[in-house]
Amino acid sequence: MTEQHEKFCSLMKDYRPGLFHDAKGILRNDTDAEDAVSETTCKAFANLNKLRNFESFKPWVMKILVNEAYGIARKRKRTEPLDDISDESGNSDILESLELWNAVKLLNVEFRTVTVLFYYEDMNIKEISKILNLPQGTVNSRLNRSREKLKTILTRKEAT
Amino acid sequence: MDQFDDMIKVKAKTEPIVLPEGFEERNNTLIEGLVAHYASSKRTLNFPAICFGTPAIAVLIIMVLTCTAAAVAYTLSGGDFFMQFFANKANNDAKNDYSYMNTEQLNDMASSTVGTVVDTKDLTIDVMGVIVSGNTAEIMLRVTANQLDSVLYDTGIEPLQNYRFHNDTSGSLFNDFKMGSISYYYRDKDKRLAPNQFEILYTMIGSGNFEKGQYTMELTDFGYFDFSREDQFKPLYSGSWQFNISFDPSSDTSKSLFVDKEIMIGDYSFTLNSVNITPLACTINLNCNEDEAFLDEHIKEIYKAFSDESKDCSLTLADGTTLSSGQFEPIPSGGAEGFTLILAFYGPVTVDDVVSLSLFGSEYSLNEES
Repeated sequence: MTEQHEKFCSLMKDYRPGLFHDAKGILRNDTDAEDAVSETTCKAFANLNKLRNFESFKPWVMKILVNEAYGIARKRKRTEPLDDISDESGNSDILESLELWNAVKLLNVEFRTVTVLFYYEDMNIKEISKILNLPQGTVNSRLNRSREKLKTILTRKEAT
Repeated sequence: MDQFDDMIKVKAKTEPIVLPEGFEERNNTLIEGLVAHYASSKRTLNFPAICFGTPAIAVLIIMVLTCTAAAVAYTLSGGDFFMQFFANKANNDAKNDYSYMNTEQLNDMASSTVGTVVDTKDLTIDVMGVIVSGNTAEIMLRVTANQLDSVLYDTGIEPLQNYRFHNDTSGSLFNDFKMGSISYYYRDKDKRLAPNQFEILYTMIGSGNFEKGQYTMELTDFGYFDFSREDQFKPLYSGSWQFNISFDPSSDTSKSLFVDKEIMIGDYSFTLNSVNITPLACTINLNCNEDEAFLDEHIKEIYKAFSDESKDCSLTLADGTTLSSGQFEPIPSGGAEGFTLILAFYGPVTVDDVVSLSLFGSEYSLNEES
């Protein structure tokens, strides 16, 4: 095993809870999220030779994860709720148990992704735009909409 | 950031991450399997099975991950080119000691191939230099994308997305070598390159000494990696570019020593078969003497013992200077079909100056040539 592989093993073990969490944020179920992390582990290991600097490991592996998660979502052809969250948020049982994570899960997939990266991974707009291959303006607008929706959901929760 | 963002970020940090039962154990098993496959892939000289975007070929490539050296302006002699290359590398690497380095010998190691080998409307490929000694060789190519303003397609995370070749290890040159590294250099690291140029450095360790003669190299599909695509690579120019490389150094600067000595590494019996030393690397070949069934069952532990003890090796020069891990990178590999430890020198060593090798707790004289 090379020094690079030793670093890989160590970093992967450090980051995998977060990777799982982020994948679940996109895919919303444990099985798919674990599949995404497994695929990410394999692809990152196989392509480690293409990573020039371990300082870039986190955004690099995160980008692989996001692509894997999107790929799994596409393959399974799951339909995601659109912008209107009223159907799910109207469910009082869900509302009563809402924590931040449950609130995030109610967002549309593209809003969930930016939300997870921004709030949970503490990435800035520029970093998120690189991971998602999106213009910073698009990330910013998605984040603004996510922020508004989260405010609405969490305020409703407080009100109940 | 407004108060809401602050509040949500704090909440995000304090929320527990609930992992499914057995998730970490399953991921550990996966990682261990990948590492074990990597170790055993060296036995069969195959790429890891889980490898996308790269055609499977019967070689093992380990990319050099740090590209700190700087290339220099085009010169007529491959030896001169590499003399300047290593001088720049030493100047730019404050961490390591290069005082042992001898670049004068590089002209003796240089091959005749130098200059433009591909010249099309889209791409020009120049061989900047080729140096060969024993089972080691280095080749530097310079690629100019004639139609592009820049080969930096960097979306910010990884230079992986700069322009490059999808497959850069085809041709007869790659038919029979044990290990190698490929480094891409772009203008962001080397300001002497034009924005539409990059260089590729091949460092190769052969299964045996490289024969004199002509070899082919083939580069396929020019583009950049794009993980959002099904095939992971977006070609700008599809096709292949083939050319010949001569290995015809004027003299042999390498030395081989057959040892055939039984040694213990950890709790395991090995035979130290031979040591090949060239100005670029020292290759130590061993076999594990444990029976096949035991070896298959305990390959991970055996490899770990071999790898761990490989870190303490050193070479002694005639003037008493010791070369250790600051002057070379130890690269262990192995499996049932043999174990190899390569010490890849950061700068060229004078082979005749190396008098002994300290390895796995013993000292071996390298004076006896065979």
